[in-house]
Amino acid sequence: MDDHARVMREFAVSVVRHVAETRATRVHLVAEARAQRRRGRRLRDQALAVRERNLALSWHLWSLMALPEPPSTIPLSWDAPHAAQEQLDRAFASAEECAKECARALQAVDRNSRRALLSISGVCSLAAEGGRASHPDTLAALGLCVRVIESNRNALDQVGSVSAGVLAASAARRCAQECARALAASYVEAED
Amino acid sequence: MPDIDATVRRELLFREVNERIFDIAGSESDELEILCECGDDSCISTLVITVGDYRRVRQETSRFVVCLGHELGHVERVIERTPAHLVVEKIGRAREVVNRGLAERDAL
Repeated sequence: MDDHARVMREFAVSVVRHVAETRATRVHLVAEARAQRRRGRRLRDQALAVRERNLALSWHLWSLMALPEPPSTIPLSWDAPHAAQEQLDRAFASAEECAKECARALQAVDRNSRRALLSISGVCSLAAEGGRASHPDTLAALGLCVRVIESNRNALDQVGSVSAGVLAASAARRCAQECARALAASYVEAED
Repeated sequence: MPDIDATVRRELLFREVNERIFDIAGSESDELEILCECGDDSCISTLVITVGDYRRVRQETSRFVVCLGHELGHVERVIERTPAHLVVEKIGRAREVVNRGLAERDAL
């Protein structure tokens, strides 16, 4: 073996030794990088979810008249928006169901919850009926539904904690959500 | 000065809700918690009124029940003051708007 070959062999041996020595470090680094990537994806998903939630809340605030202008975009979960009329029909149906369930639960709840259910039932029955009759104040009635239901959120938690009130509480929450979306859809369609 | 038509329309909407509450509560309650019938579109206050008082106020179409301090001097005057609420009566043009609004409602 000439000198050149010996040097090359020693170099190769040193490289192999170095690779072997640093293998544990590399494995550790790769594992750490993978963990970081997973953490990054999780954080990105969380950020997207928070942004979605914020956007939905902004629309909700706008429907409650707490924001002067609606948000400039709609949440991704709304990316197949229903036409305004279809969304309005869903809101009227929800309001009708909510009015019925709240009226039905009246006898089974305490005095405070009863007051809340009466207010919600009253405003929802008006919105549902106004919607069916194409009353000019229908959108205002839907906005009022959202506000009355939201302002009675604590009472609804109470109502939902007794078995006879579960349907009323869930119908009211669904109604508030559908009404807020119907208002947003109407706004978006009017803007288009 | 706020638009009188818009103000009165809002008040009529709140009144309609309260009439529903009254209908749903029926004769089973002595008192009702109703929405303030003021024309402020950001108001979501409620007030408690006896069924008898509410029925009496409703006999006059130009009268509304509002929370203390929610009266609007340019469209109404206070005709009754209790520790819990005010009864206000529409005046001038606002009164005409109420009558027109009720006529429209009946026509639907």
